[in-house]
Amino acid sequence: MTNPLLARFIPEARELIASSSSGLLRLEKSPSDADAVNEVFRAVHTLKGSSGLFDVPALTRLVHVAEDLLGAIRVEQLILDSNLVDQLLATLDQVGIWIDQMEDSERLSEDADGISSSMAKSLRSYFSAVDQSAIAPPQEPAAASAADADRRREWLCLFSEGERLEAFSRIAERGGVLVHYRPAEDCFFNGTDPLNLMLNAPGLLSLAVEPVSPFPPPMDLDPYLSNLSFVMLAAGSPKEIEHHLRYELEHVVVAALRPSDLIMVSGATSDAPVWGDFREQAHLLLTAGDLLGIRPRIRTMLELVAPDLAAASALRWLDALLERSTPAPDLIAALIDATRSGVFVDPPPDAALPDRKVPPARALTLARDILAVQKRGLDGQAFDEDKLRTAAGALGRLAQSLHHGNMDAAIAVAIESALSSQSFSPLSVVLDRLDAALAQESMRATAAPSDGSNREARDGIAEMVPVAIASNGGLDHVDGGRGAAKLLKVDQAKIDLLMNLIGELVVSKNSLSFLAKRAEDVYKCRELGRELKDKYAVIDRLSQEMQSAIMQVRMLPVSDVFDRFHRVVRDVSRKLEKEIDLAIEGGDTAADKTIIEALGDPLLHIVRNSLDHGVELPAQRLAAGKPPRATITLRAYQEADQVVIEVGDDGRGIDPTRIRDVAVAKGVINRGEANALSDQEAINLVFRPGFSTAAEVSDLSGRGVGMDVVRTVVEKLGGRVTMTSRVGEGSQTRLMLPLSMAVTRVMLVEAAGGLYGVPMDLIVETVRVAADRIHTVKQAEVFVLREQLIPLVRMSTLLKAAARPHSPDEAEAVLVCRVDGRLVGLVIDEFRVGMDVVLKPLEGIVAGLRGFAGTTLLGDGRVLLVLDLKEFL
Amino acid sequence: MPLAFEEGIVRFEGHCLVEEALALVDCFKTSPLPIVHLDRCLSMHAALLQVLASARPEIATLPEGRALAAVVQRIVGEVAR
Repeated sequence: MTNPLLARFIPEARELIASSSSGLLRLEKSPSDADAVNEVFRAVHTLKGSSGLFDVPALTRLVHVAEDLLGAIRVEQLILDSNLVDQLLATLDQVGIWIDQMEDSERLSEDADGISSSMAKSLRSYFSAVDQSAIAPPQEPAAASAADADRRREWLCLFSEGERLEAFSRIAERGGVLVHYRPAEDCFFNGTDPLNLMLNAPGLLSLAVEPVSPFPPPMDLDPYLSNLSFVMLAAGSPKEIEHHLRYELEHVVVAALRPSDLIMVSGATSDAPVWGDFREQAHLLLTAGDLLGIRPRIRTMLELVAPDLAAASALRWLDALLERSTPAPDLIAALIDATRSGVFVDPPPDAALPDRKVPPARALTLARDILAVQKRGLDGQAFDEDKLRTAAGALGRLAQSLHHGNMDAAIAVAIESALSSQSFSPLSVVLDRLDAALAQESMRATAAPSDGSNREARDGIAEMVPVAIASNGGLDHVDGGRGAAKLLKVDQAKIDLLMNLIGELVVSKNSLSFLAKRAEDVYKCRELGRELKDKYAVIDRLSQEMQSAIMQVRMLPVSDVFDRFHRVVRDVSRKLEKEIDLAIEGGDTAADKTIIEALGDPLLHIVRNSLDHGVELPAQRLAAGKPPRATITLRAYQEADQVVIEVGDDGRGIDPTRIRDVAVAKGVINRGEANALSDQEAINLVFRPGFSTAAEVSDLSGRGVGMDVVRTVVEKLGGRVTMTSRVGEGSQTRLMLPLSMAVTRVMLVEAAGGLYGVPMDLIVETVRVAADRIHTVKQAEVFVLREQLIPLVRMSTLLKAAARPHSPDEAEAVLVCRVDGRLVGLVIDEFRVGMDVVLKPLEGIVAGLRGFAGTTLLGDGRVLLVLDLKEFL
Repeated sequence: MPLAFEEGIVRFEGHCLVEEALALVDCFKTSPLPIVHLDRCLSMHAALLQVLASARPEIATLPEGRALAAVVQRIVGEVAR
C-alpha cells in the first residue's frame, strides 16, 4: 500500500466496525443503554469522518446515512428494533467488505455506488417509518414492481417513436438503461450542472428534459433553483451509468431496459380488410420461419397506410425488430397482432432470461428452507391425498412469490401423476427442480459473501495486533479504547521477527555452556570455564525473561474470538426461531495469538452445531420441562500450561445409541465394534472422519465434514478435544490447547546412531526394560508395564538405520508415549536431556519429508530433527 | 463573455456558465423578447436552460451538438426557423 494514510485508516476502520457491531448488539439487548448508543454513534461518526479523506464517496455516503439513523436513535426519535439492527449490521458488514477492497486495490469495486445507494435507501426508509409513526409494512414486491413498471412506461412515453426506434437497435446490441434524474433544488450551489452531467453520460442515446413544475415568466423566475427533471435512454450497463452519476445517485433511478420495453404502439386504430390479409400472411411466414419474407410486405403496407395509425406504428416496430439477426418469434407475433388491436402486449419474459428479477439472497435461503421442510414431510411417508395437496399448494405459492410462475403447470401435472400412482415422488421431483433453480440463483445472489469467514482467513496475513507496551506484561488493553494513549500499534510481522530473533538468541546462548566445557576439558583452563558459566547464567536468565516478555506481547485474550459469537448466536437463533442466550466466562484468559486466531473456525463449527442440532425449539423445550430460552456457554480458563475452552449447551444432548447406529450405517465401524463401545466412546465417534449425523445438509452445519475437522485443527495446534453429553441435558465440548506455540519442550533421545527430539507432551514416562521382560506376540514385541500390555516399536526399524550394538543383558531404554490415545513403547538407544526449542518447520526440498515436526539448532551447532510420532507410527 | 447581448439578439458562444443566468433573466424582462442564437454554443448550464424554458424566446439557430439541440428544442418549443 503506497498511501500511508490509508494504511492507518484500514486497521482503524476495522476496529471501529467491530466496536460499533458489538455496541449494536448490546443496544439491542438493552435499548436504554445510553453509553452503548453513544459508543456506536461515535464510532460510526469517526468512520465517516476518516473515510472522507479518501476517494470513496459510496462508503462515506452509506456511513453518513447510518450515522443519521444512529443520531435519531440517540435523541430517541427512533426506536431500535431487531430489523433495524439487522440493517445496521448488514451496513457495517458491507463497509467491512469495502475496507478489504480498499486494502487490496485502494479503491472500491465498480458496483459500490449501486450497493451504497440501495442500502442507504433501505436505511432511510426507517426515517419515513418514523414520520408515519408506524412501522412500515414490508412493501408487497409485486405491487412495487407494478408501480415501477408504470413509472418506467410514463418516462418512456417522453420519447418520440423515432427516438425509441433509433435507441432500439443500439440497445439490442449493447443492452440499455433508462435513467430518471431529478436533481435537488439547490444543486447549482454545490457546483452540480445536471444538464451537462446528463449530456456527457456514457452511451447517451436520447435525453428528455421536463420542468418539475411549470416555469413562471422570467419576472418571477429564480434561475438558481433547479426545476428540471431528466429522463435518459442510454446504451450500456446500469453500472456504467451509476458510476458516471455516482455523486448524484440519491436523486437518480437507474433501470435496466430490454429492447422490447421500448416498443410502444400508438395512434388511431383502423381495421381495413387489407390488414387481415397481411396478418394472415405474416403469421404463416413466421410459422414457416421465413422472416425475410415478412419485411417486403411491411414496406408495402407502410406505403399504403397513413403513418399516424397505430397499425403503422406497429409495422415500424416490426420492421426494426426484423432487422435484428435473432428476433424473438413471440415478440413478432405480438406486433403482428398489434396491427389489429392497436395495443402491443409485451409477452412475459421467459424464465430463462437473465434479467428476470432475482429475489434477494435472504429470501432464497428462506425459500430453500421451506422446500427442505416440505421435502422432509414427503420423503418416506405413506401417501395421503390431503398431504399432497397441502404440499403442492405451498410449493405453488412459493414458486409464485419467487417469480417462478412457470412452475404452475409442472405442479398440476405432478399432482395428476401422484394421484394416479399413489406416491409423492412426482411432486418430489418438481420440488427438487425448484430447489436446484433456487440454489443456482442464490449462488449468483451471494457472489459477494458478507459473513466474516473470509475476513478471518485473510486476517492472518498482515494484521496489526494491538500491543500493550509491555511494562507489566499488560493485557489490560482489552477494555475498549479508553487506554488508547498507552497503546502502540505494531505490525504483526515485526513481533514475529522479534520472536524469531529471541529464539535464535536462546539457541546460541546454549552454545556458551558447550564453550565452558571445552575451556575446561580441551584448553584445561578451569578459571575461564567457571567465568563463562557465570556469564552464561546471567545471559540465560535475561534471555528467558525476554522470551516470556515477548510471549506476553503475543498473548491475546480469548474474548477476541469469543466476542464475535454474540453476533453469530443472535443471527442464527433469529433465523432458526430459537431463543438462545450466549454466556461468556473467562474472556480475559489469554493465549498465544496464533492459537486464538486458529480457534475461530473450530469454535464456530461447534457453536453452530449446538445452535442447529443441540438446542431445541422453544416449544420442544417447554414440553421437556425446560425453560424456553436456551443458553450456550463459552468458557475459558487456564489449567497448568494449557488453555481450556468449553462450549456447552443445555439442549437435547447426544444420544449414544443413535451415534452407534449412524456410525455403523456410514461404515465408520462395524456393528460388533459399535456394541462394544461405552457410551462415552460412542460419543467420541463424532470426531471420526466421514461422520455427520445431520439428516439433511443445512447451511449452518452438517455439511458432512463435521467434528473431525475440528479435531484436526485442534491437534495441529498441539491440543486435544473431547466431548461429553447427557441425553436431554445438553452437551459440552472441551478444547485443550497449549498456551503458546512459540517454544516446544522436547526430549533429546539417541536412536539409530543419531540424536532426535521427541515432543515432551507425548511422552508418558521413560522406563528401562530388561530383555527378559520383552515378550513376542506373533511378530510383535510387547512388554507389561503395571499390568498393561504395551506394544514395542524399535526406533532403528522406523528410521531404517542400525541400532547401537548393546549386550543382551543390558536393559533396553523405552520411551512410553501416548499417540492418538494409545500407549506405545519406543525402544531407543539412550535418553538425553529435555530442552526448550524453537521449532522451525521443514522448508524447501525437505518440506515434503514425512514423520518430522520440524528442526531446531543445538547449542553446538548441530541440527536436531524433531519427530512427529503420529505420522511416524 | 460567452453570452453576447446585442440589439434584440442574444448570442450564446462556447461554454456558457451558470454565472450568466441573472444577466440572461434581465434581458428577457424586456419586450419584445430578444432573439436567441445558439449556433456557436458548445454547452450551457442547466440554469441557462431554465431561463430559456421560462421565457420561451424565438430561437434563431440551434447548437451544433445534436443532443443539446434536441434538449433545447424540446423544452423551449418549436424553433421558428
